[in-house]
Amino acid sequence: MVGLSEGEKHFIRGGIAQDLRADGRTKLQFRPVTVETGVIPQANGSARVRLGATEVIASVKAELGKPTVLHPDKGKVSIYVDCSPTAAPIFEGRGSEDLSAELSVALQRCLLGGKSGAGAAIDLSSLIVLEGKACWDLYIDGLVVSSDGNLLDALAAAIKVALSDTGIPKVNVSLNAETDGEPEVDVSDEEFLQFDTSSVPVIVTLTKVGKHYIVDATSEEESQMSSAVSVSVNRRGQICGLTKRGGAGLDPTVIFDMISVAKHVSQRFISLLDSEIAAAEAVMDE
Amino acid sequence: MRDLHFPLNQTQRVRLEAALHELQTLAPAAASAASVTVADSIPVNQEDNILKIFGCVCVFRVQRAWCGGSRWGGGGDTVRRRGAGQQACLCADAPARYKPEVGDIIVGRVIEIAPKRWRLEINFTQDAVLMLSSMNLPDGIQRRRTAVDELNMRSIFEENDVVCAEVRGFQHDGSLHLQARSQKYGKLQRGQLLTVPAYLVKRRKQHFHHLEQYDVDLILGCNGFIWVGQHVLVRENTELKEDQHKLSDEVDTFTSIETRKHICRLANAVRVLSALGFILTIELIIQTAEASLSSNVEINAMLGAEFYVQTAEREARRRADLVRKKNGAR
Repeated sequence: MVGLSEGEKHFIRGGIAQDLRADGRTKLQFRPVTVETGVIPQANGSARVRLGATEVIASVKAELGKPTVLHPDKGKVSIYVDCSPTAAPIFEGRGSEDLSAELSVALQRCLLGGKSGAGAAIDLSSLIVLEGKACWDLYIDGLVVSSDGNLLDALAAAIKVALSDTGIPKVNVSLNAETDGEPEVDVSDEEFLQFDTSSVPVIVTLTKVGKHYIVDATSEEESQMSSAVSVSVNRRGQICGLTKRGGAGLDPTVIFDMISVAKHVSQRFISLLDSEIAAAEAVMDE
Repeated sequence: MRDLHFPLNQTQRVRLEAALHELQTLAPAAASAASVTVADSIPVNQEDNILKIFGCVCVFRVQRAWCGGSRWGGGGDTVRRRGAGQQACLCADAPARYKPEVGDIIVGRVIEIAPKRWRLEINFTQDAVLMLSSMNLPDGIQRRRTAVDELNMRSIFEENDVVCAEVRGFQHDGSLHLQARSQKYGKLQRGQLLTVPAYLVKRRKQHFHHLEQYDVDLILGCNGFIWVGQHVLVRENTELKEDQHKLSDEVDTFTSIETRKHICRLANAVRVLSALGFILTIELIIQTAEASLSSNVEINAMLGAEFYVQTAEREARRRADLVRKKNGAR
């Protein structure tokens, strides 16, 4: 990230205070969003989301596996994010490890629910094939292709769209009574199960600069932040996850205020994403 | 600048392609963007003594030019032009990088303070050097720079400051020497810096533009760095220090909302035009900004798909009118 001079920083702070940011947006406006699905044909589902100059790709791969002993009736989901070195020079080699880990953890917290599996965005019991014996493992991978701020929101949106694009093959299970061990699983090539992603939440990150919060910060604006709160909200307005970044402390009233702002903004973002998903599906059906 | 992506729907895509196609057919044959093949006669602008051919491979001493869209560059060679004798020809790479010349006005960012000089990043293969002696001192007196001046370099320019300067010459290792002796050069504050590909900024007589109607300074750096900022009165050198203190009293000194709106509009106009690949001239930028005002496009909607397509169409219409007038005048 190129450094900014004092004058430029002053200008950015002034813009945020006056509700007119460098590219003309108000404090609560998102950059134009572009969504494409099916960008990775080998994956079960994939999506590319562009938020201004930030570009991320999410892919979902499903593999057959065994459920854990603790939850024999649930499938497994794992989320992992990688930052491509083409996004920024500091991502070369191991430079992106910290950021990737932070993004992965934040996404897991928001989408996977608690230890008991409750509150997960995806209904894990829909992933079960044969209780106790076989289930689907979903591997969700995010790749940051171009970084201009607000990576978390873009990744969450990409994962939501990728899940809507995901098709899990139907399986026919034949239980062989003699071998008590592994059942025969026949993975069909034709029929697919689509996920219902209406309950998948999106993440809205509110970046605090001075006394004001902004939504969808560019990397220049992020360089001026004192702290940032990422709130994950689903369509019903329920909070699914909360992450705070940045060194400055926040008063609890401020956090409550940020949460209510995030809830309000997220409804718009969710309906925007849903319409983009529907448009992408319509294109595919043609 | 990172590429902006515009989500176009089907009708917008069709309109955009039509506009771009019209622009290509309108591009006059004598434009520098023409492409030639072997044995073509290259139209020459009689004013320039040098033919500039971009993106071609010139073979030394062979009287042919192999030109095309390739990114190969050759040295300066001679090319025979039919019926007009030989002309010197400069063959260069497809210009994404800045190609400096003496006297260019550029905008750069300080990346390092070295003994008696500043190093600036200017979108060139090497960093440019601004010597302490090429810079006016804050007190305005012409004198030899002392050790105290050297220690106070940081009070003039710090790291990451945006500076406007002029190319004075080349050093022996190919890097640039800059000078900032006049009042109009120096530190740029209160605005935004935009990066566009260097070939979109052509050399003109004027690179500093003070837009009175907006109270905005627009500086088109030849290296592709464009500064859009609040207008700064060319002031006495002694006030430099006071300005530093003012920056700390922030809220009072934020740019006024009106000026800020104009700055954002102009900056977005530059972004859209550079995304379209149009050569940036001050007239075009102002026209685009005013068109957005008159058609009541919101400032942030200027970066949307509709305005992008409209700008392309507007430019196609403007060039068509120009060609028609030229043909009509003949």
